[in-house]
Amino acid sequence: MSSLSDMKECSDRQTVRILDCLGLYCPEPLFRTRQEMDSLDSGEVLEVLADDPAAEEDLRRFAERTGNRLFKSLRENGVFRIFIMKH
Amino acid sequence: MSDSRSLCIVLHAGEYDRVSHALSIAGVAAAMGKEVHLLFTYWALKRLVRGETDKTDSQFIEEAVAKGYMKTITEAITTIKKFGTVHIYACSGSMALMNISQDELINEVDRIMGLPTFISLWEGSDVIFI
Repeated sequence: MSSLSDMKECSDRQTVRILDCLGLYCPEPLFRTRQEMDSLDSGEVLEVLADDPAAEEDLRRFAERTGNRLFKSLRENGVFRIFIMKH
Repeated sequence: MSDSRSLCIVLHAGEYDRVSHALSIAGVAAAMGKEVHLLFTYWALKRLVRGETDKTDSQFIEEAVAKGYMKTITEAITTIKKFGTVHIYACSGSMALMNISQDELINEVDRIMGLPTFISLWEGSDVIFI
């Protein structure tokens, strides 16, 4: 499967849960993301809201290391919306 | 982050911020899939004695904890243990030196361990001394 169709497939999935990490700083967004991911089923998507400037890069590394897929991230007014699909 | 599968940390210092920082590093490594082995020695070991764990040692720390900027050490241990790959050991030599008995230790301690066993765990692992 190409990465483009991969992304399309992921984007079509509904966000199952939103995790609000606004006002929290490293390592707390990672800790909370990991705990939420543990409670999801394979294929479900977590949307993380975060304003820690390092959050997007950190959660991308987390996803790479743990086999989950960070397939979309948006940033508006300093707030990230980060979408991770559970492996 | 290296490709080693595990991280070993020797905690020596007992200051609140050092222990807290060691637990943050341990928690991040565990959250990202590593096995983490923590050997508490010397002053850090005193943090594992029931009633001593969360004692603050400066006004800065006291305020940071009160305002929620920092977790208590108990909360930090509880959080990172949930990831399932954090192991906490009490150094047997330090227990003797600090006159600490096994029944004084908090329940989160997995076992008592000597240095030779801990060093055998860190073959192929990243090692940090704090």
